[in-house]
Amino acid sequence: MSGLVLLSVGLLGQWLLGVAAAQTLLRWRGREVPRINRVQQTSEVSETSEVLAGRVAQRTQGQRVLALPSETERLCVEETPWAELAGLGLVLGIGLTAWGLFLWSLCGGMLGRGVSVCLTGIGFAWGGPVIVRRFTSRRVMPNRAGDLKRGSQRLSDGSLVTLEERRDAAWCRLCQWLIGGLAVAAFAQTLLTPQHFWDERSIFAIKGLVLAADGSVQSRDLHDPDFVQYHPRYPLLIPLAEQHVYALLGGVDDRLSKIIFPLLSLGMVLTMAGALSRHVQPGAAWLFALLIVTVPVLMPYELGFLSGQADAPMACFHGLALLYLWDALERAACGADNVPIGSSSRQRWLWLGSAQIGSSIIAGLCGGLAAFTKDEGIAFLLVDVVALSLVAVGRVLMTSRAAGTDPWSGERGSLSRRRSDGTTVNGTTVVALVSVVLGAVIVLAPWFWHRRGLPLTTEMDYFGRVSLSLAIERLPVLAWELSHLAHRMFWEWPIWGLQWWLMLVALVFAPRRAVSAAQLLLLLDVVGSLLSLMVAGMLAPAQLNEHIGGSSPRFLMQLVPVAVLFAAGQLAPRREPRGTVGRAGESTC
Amino acid sequence: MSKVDRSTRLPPDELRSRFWLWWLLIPLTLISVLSSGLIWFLPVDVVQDWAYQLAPPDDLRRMEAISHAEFLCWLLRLVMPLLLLATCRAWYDLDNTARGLSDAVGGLLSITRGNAAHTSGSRWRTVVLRGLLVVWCGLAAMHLADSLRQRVRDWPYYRFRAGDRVLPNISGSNVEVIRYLQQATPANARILVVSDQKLFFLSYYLLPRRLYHKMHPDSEHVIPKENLQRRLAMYRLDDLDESFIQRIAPDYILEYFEHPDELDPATLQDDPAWIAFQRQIHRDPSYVPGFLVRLRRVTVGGQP
Repeated sequence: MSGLVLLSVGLLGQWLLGVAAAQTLLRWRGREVPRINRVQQTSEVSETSEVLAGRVAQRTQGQRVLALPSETERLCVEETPWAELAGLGLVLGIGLTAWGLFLWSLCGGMLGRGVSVCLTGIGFAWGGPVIVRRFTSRRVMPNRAGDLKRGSQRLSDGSLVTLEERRDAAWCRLCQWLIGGLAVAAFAQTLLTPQHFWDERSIFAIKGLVLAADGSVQSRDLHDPDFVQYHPRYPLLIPLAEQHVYALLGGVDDRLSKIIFPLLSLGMVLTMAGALSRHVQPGAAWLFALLIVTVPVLMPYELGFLSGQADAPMACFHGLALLYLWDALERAACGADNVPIGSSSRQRWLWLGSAQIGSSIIAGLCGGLAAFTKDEGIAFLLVDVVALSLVAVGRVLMTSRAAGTDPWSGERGSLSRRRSDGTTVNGTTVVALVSVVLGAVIVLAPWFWHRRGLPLTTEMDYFGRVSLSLAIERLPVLAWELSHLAHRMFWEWPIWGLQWWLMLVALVFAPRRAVSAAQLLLLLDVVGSLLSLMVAGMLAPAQLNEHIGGSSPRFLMQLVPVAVLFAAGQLAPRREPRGTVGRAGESTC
Repeated sequence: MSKVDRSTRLPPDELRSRFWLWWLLIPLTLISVLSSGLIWFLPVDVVQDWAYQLAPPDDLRRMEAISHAEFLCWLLRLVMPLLLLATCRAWYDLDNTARGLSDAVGGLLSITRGNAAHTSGSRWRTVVLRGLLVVWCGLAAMHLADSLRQRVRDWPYYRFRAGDRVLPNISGSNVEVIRYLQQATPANARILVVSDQKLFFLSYYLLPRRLYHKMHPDSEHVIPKENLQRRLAMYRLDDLDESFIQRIAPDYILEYFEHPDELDPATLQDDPAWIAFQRQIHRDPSYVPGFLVRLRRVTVGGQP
């Protein structure tokens, strides 16, 4: 019983640790980056918000970079939604705890109850004040969500609640109840089943047990090529997260250690809802969050979040990596349209760069945690970086065409270009790219250093098998793979869900929007990931129909959040700042 | 009177919503009151007896039926009072509940209207989007119901037990070998195995005992099939060189073969402790297992 209590406290501490890390990163992302809407009626702006926003406008990343807006401009300071903070806290809490334990052990520390309790203490000490401040601080900005939830007819900034806002808030509440109910169902179902599938036991749980018994990632057996385990080179995030549970519990129970999986599911859904609601109408954000949580292949499919396999956590980490890259590009696009006229190139650079850097670092961390979860994460990370590079190149070329200049011959040191229509299109996607790589390298460098010493038994060694002759020899299998994937994605929807049809419908309904930088990134990522699976099928030394045929549902599961995110970006009505004059659903960015 | 006044102030869509909510709440309240009362006052034993009577005359089926009844009983004991609370809350604040539901539906309809600027609105797009959502929700509900059914099926075996007690989803022969090794070897034993099996589950459930097995390169990426349909390439004890065995430094050597082509009937009873264990669990003093298990303690110098 004391073990269960300590486990509960430990999980709370883990979440608080994640919340504190998320808050730090989200603040860096530019919580205080102002968004300007030029068509506002200034009469609707409360004095408080304008004063705050004006102060914020002067201070981006602690530097005086922007002039105060003119009288006809209104600033709208966005606050991190509670759902995003809580959700990202869950995901980063689990990921960073495992990573911290890995570093600790790599440096010679022993894993066990001592270090797990210490991490819990750090979580409470660091994250506790963040939560307390969040609950107790008097908000300077009007709390629209709170006002709407209380059913007030008038918001705290004095303005009346519109019918649309009331309806949107009611729909949000319904979605939150449904997601909450489904989360409870997920927890209950997870705790009703011990680990009982092939991969969860032979790859991940077995390493977790060895770590719990030996107390070190330097365990002699994990380095022994003849110790019976599957994929000895597979990453250690899940084994370490399970070891953390065992350490707090004071014993081994492979049913309770599965609790991290529904936590990751809940974290992913909340983060999606919160981050999306900064860009699209909150009701739409929660609708798409609800859609993610009801995709059958993620849950209740047996190998999804209800099991101890790594595919669903991969979907979570990879999905969030793409979400924050998408967020960075959307914010950059928003910022580009709102850069104050007359600002210098350095000011434009800082404006746009600060809008992207924090989100990109979160994306990099999540991408790194994905690669620290399962080897597919390496391929995903490469695909992400290539897709982002293509988007960056495309933007630079489009900017130069719009400005009628050569892309690399403009003002020295400036990465932003002014378009002929007076708005700025930025080259700061490069900043996003560098930040992503930086975030991923921070997470992955120690792991790859450690991985060199691990045995190769049962490993497929894809990179070592890459050769032109093999590719040519196995070229015919591409046709089989293509038809197989199409069958899985579109024909077998009653089993795996409608997410690919949703993505297709979204693409057909708004083809022009699909070529915006953020949406194009998601599209390229899905296409690139599918291509990587096909290439893996060509290279793998295994029977094709068993290898790809057996693993394709789990691989496609890892792309589900990206597919739904793409649909949200295509179909969801954009968020409108209060009082905006414009058509419903029209983008204000 | 005041109620009439309040309802007359409601706009038509909320009145309609109130009407439908009323008709939804009446059966829900009846169901939740009756079932909550019934399921909490009816002893679980009675329900289990009833399930036993209905089950086919087979021990396993009867055991399953009793456990299913127990699971469903407790599930309803938890869910029905919650439903009752929810309906009470809805009755208590009927106008606001009706307005909330009406607003939520209005919000959904507004979001799914296919007239956002970038989708250049049209009616059929709205229809497609809403149709897709309806099918999506139906599919989710179906899968959720299926998963609940699966949990009911699992309950007799898993309950709240950890994997090392249940040994789930592995072959019966693997279960027997694991149980045998658990009783025949100390918890810190190092066991070298030669086998035609994939041994991951044995290794997992036998921890903290450590299992070592030199895997044949030809079977590294081969996925085994049920009922030994696929023979795996493997090393026998004679194929292992002395230096390998010395490096592993095992406390025990286990030979474990299941494929008929690997079995020599004369050796099946070589390990008297294994044979005694088998005869004990099968409650048959003359039982001879159909596969080879031979466990030997390694003496100093690495020789069995």
